[in-house]
Amino acid sequence: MSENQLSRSFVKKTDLALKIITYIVSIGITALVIAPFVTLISGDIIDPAMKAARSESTLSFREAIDLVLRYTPLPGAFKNSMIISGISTVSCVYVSAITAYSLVAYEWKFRRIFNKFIIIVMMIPSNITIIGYYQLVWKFHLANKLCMVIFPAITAPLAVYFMKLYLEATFSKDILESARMDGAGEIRIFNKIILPLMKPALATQAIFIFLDSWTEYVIPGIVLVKDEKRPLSIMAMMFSGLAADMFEDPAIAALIIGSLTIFLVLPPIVLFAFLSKDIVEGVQLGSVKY
Amino acid sequence: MENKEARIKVKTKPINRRYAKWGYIFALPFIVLYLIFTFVPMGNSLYYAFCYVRHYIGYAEPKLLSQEGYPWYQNFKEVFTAASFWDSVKNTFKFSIGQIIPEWILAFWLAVMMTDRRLKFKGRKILKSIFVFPKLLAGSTVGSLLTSFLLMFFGSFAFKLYMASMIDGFGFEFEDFEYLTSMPFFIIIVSIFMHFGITFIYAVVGITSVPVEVFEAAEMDGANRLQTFFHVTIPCMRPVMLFITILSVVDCLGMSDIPAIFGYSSDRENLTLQSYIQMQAGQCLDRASVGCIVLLFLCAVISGIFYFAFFRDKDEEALRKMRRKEKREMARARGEAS
Repeated sequence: MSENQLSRSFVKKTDLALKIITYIVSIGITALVIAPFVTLISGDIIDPAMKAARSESTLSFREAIDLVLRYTPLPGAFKNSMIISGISTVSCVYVSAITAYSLVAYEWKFRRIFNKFIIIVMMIPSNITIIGYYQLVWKFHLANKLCMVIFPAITAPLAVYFMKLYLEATFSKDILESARMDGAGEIRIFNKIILPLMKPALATQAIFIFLDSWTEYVIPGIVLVKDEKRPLSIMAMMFSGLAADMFEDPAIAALIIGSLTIFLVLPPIVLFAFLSKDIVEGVQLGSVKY
Repeated sequence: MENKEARIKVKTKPINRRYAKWGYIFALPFIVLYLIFTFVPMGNSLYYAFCYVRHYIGYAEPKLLSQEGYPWYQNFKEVFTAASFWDSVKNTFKFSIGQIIPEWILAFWLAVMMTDRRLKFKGRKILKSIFVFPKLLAGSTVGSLLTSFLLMFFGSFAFKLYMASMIDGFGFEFEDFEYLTSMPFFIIIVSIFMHFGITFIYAVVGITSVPVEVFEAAEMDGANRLQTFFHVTIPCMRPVMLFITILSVVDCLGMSDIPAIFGYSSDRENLTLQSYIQMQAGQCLDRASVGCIVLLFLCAVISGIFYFAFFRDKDEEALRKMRRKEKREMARARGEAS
């Protein structure tokens, strides 16, 4: 009896220690993430140019935005980025979901082969298609078209695999049968019943797909070469190279690049804030059946 | 019981077959788009490895090496004899292994601790958002500010250790901390910091997908946390593990943006395979294609090793084989009877 009590108190002690260590580690990582912003606000900034910006320049944030608007095609670039990332995220999520649904719900002949195919092409790094894509786009005179950036982003085998795992855990044939009994068409069933069912998986994938396409610069860089077609990521990169030459005062240049960056950083954060509560958790994803 | 199930199966089969065409219809958009926008360009890139493309070709068709009077393996020979290529492969492996092992230990340890029922850890959802924050900022000026802050932090830490070694306080030697200020170490640290949040999120997804009863049973049988993790959690989250592994392997082997922050120099300390491909693509597309083939090969081999060694469901495979055998025997018996 006493031995039992002893071991129980020992377990409690190690539990407490583990808990404290976990808290310390996670708070340490949090501090590493947040510290740059604190230093940014308190004015003790790493970049000497930025430090000078605080003390000497009289440029307010509004004036900096005005300067950015005067020297760069910011609204157009922001719109391009929004079109590219928005359409490719929505269509990628939808196509992945419908592909995963076709793998789980229907018994077609090549289903198993297609499943293997998805697992194999997951391992292909997306970067190796770039050289061939470059030549194809220019050969068929399709450069400077936004859709040529969107199309390659629609198919994402990793997203299909993840959604398949999720659907296998949550989908049951009974829903399908009863909906068919009520006379719903297959596309209607998918849109009205299956998509809401998959909301957590859609949200999880949408965050990362949007982030990838928002910060992507390789494929837009080779396809979109006209100034008015460029997305924000490339425009910001080019402008931050130019700004140092354009403005004699490095402080003002740094300030302008900084205010441009806000537009680059904000949309992913806003999307994450909206979707983060829906990230998958606690569903028996592809777990071993017992 | 078995009879009943068999009868139900026979009954439902025609219905399923009638709806099977929708399976094709729903899978069609993915297949078509994937073939056009990924497979064709990939084949094109790989075809370039056997062509002579020394400058930007624009609208012209590339010529095969044999038409220019070279042997077909000329590009491979040139790339495989270049010291910079082998350096880039070596660096890629160094960075990948240096990144994946600490990142996975950290991410899985934190995920296990935060999902443990006995610890009752609070604030997991907020911490999840914070951990993925560096990734959200990556590729922007704030992202590089974050990176430079991290560098400064670790740099000053290393500098303090330097000072300690200078005054010989703890018996440290100057050379003991050489690697702490080296570029590869910084690259690995920053990569871990950037990528760690994603691995953490998916690790939590995987661990929470395991039914609670399994953990309870393990606890009842007296398994400690380490045993539970390796013998219960990992096998139960096998499909999600495959996802995490492939994500990590592909991201690590294709890494180029963080090494690029440091700028490339002639000692090639931060040249990765992806940055080698990007550099070659500026002048010789054919050599870049050879690099692509090597990258594809490495990804396939490493992911394949992981898949066949750890994630293939061996029991299910055996079961399927058995079922197929039974079916064949039944068909044969039926054939003999008729």
